[in-house]
Amino acid sequence: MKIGVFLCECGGNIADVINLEQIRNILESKGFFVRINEHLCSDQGCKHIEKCIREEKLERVVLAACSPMMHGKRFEDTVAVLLNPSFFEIANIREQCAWVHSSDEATPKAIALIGAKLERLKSAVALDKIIIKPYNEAMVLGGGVSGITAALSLANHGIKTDLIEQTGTIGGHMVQIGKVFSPGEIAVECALCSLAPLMSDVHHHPLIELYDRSRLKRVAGSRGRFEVEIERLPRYVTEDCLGCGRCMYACPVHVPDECNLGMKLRRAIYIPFPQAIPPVFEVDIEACVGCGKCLEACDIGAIDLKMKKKAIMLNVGAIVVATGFRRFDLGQVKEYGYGRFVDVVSQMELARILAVNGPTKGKLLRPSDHKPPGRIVMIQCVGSRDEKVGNSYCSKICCMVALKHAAFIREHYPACEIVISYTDMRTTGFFEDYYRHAQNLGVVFIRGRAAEVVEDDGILLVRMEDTLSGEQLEIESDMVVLSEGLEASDGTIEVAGILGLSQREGGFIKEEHPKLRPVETDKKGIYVCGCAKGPKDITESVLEANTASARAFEYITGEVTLETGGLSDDEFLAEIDGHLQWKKRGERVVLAFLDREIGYRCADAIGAKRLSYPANIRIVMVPSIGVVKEHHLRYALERGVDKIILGMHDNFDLEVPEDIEDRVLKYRVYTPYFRGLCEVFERVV
Amino acid sequence: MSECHYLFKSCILGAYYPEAERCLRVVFDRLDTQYVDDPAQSSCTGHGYHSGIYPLKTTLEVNRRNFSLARGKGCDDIVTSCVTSYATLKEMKKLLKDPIKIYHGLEVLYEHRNEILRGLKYNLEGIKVVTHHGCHYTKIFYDDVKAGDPERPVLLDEIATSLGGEVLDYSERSLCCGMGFNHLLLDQEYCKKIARRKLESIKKVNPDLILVHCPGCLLTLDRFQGILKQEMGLELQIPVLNYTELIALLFGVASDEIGIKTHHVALEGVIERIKE
Repeated sequence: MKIGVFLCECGGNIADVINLEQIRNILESKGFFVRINEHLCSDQGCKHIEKCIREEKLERVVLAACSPMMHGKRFEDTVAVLLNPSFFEIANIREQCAWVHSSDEATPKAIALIGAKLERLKSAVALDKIIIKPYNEAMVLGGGVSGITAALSLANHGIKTDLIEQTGTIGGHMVQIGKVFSPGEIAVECALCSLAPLMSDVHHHPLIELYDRSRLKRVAGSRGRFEVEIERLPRYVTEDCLGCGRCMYACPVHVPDECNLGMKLRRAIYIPFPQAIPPVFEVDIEACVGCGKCLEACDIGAIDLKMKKKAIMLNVGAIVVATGFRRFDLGQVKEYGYGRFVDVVSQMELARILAVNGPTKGKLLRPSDHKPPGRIVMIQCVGSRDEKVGNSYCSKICCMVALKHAAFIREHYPACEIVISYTDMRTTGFFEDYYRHAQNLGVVFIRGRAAEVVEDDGILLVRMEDTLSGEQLEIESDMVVLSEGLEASDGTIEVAGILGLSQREGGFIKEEHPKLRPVETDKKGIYVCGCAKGPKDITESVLEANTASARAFEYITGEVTLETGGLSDDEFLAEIDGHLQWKKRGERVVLAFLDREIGYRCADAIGAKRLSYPANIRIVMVPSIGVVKEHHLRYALERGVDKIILGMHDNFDLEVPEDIEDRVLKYRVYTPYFRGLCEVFERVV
Repeated sequence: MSECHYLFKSCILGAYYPEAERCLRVVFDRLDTQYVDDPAQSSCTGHGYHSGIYPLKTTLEVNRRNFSLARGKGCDDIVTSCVTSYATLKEMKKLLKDPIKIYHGLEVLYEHRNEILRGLKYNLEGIKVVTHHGCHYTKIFYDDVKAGDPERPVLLDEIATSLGGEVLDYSERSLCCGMGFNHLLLDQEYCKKIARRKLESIKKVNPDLILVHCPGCLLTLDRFQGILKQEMGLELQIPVLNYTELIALLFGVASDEIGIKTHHVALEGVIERIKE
């Protein structure tokens, strides 16, 4: 195999420090083809490389020059004319050698760096770039307002879209909310009046396939070619159902109605709410007693209690995750007595009480005795901004939810007093109008987190400190409403696990870049929107859903290039061997595994600033620190590497076994803080 | 928990309710639980430490000695009868990075609750109980609260329920008993105010007894009832029982032996009802 090595003088940047002539002599004596050039990156330099490859029939090429971050792409394009880019490597003898070491140290290290690359190239396998066309179909996970919006947008752009919903109807939490607020508007709107037409559009759209009662089971493939398995549970009612409801009236079973948070009852055969999509009844098979009364009642024979669950395979080019949130479990905050006192309810339960299709048909009556409450105390930030329950984030919507309910009650039930116990009122932007509106309606705001809710002589007492006056208060109330925080839904956590997406606090899915790529996940072709990403209101969810669908559309209609430039195990181990090949007796070698994007750039910056560190630090670039596994560490240590530095970042972590713990140092790299990395280099040696 | 516990006696309990202190040993004997009763053990100094009288260093050194005594006796854990000892030892263990384990006596009995049921001569059927958990148990090492939530511990509740009693809720359940280490020394009027609020709220639900697991709470809730009557004519008369006394009593230990004479509020009535 004929291998060429090109040594770059880089003006004097390299040649003034490193004895290139000496390196040439050594390498030539080992049978390599070696050339020294003043500026390899110049037009002439590149032409020279190309000419040599052609004339000398070189099969592998090592360039010893500046960092691949500088002219890597240019060199790769030059070599790629004649050679597969997999057969080409750059040894960084400028930023990571000539600029950080003295002359006598730099030359032997440069030889070792080149030697490591030569060794690696022996194991290189030719990889071709692959350009693929994504499947012309999209999948949206979750049928709440975000998922509905994303699915409609994709379908309206002509993409066939599969909408996966785990319950029996689309609509999500927005259906339950009843009344919704908007920025800059004082009036609240009917949620279903806005949402039902969109749900109907989903139902009738020729390009949307709705999979209700379905869950994501597994995903194979990647990048535009996702092969997805969906599990669809049976409804036990066929699509012939006309929605007449006779079966429901015949059913003798009464169970709590989820849509009304258990405050109402439903039958075992039911439709979650009259506007549900698909407009087909379903059987709660766990509640069903199998009496067969519904079968008798159905004239058209649409009920089939023997229906089985199905596994469905779908091929999609892009996935939009819109799996939403779950409401914080208020029972965790024992001091507020949720679950112990019936008149302590959640904001969502209050929303149901105020809803015309709710348990009280919209009348404000408290659960215990169905009497109108004279005073309601609302407690904010329950399960939000609370490290005690593990949620330090703000749930963003609860201030507005409380204001919406408080203002509505003050307008319609002026005899009812409302007290809001708040941490900070966060009514950003035009929502401030709403805050003022509630103040004008006489809602009382007290700053301070309620300490506890107790019952004394049948009266609920909210104990708190008014932190503005320092006064301790005990507020008698007929009803206490807890503003529950938002957490990532079980579906969000499950889907993130199946798809392998990064998550942030609380299990919410993390975007690739919060500003520039806000709906992209760290997996190409998978997008996220709505509350699956973090708490937000309907307006923001819809905005994000449209953004996510636009990005998914671009992805599906474009081309996907599967890049080369990865690192096979053989290449990785060969490069480690290469570093040790030139090791002198008694010499200590420290390998620093640094990822391409952050750690390696950070190390280059040390050179650019002309700081220095010991020459036995050898940097090995890896595409991502996640590729470094325990067996790589053991391989290196067993073959004579003294210590290893792992440049950690993001969510990657590697558990280092105890027996090699003292020889492996994990350090969090951060591109601007190159001095920190430099200090670590010095300290380790 | 290890096979043999190092029994850590309480100074307050020993001084004011010596039989209640002894009852833990009686209960352990009945349950065949091994323990070492070491006369060399010294006070955890918690009372002085939490009142700000003893410096940290003293408390550290005294308990370093206690830990080493326990280990010398072959015990991997220390079981305290008092919640202040529990919290103080835990804190010193943490500061000294000592591997010894610290448990409160009630936690050990909670582990053995099924065996307790088998040895009962009497039970709490028809008896209404309110519970009060000591702050040094629930509020310092709050993650370690054995049953329930630090904001609503139910260790005593579960014991009382398993013994057949009915546990009543009351509005001041999470309020301090009133002892408040510093306040007891500096401002007893404040202590009295809190104890009154606590006891009056208990009186509203009219229980047969108050169940506690802290010597300070026992002392405060029991003795303040006399002071409140003397100074304000407040008629409360709610019996207060320590967990050790209650379980010993249900095992059939005679009233005199659980030390009813040391209690300010008469226990005879409730004991009679239990034995009925």
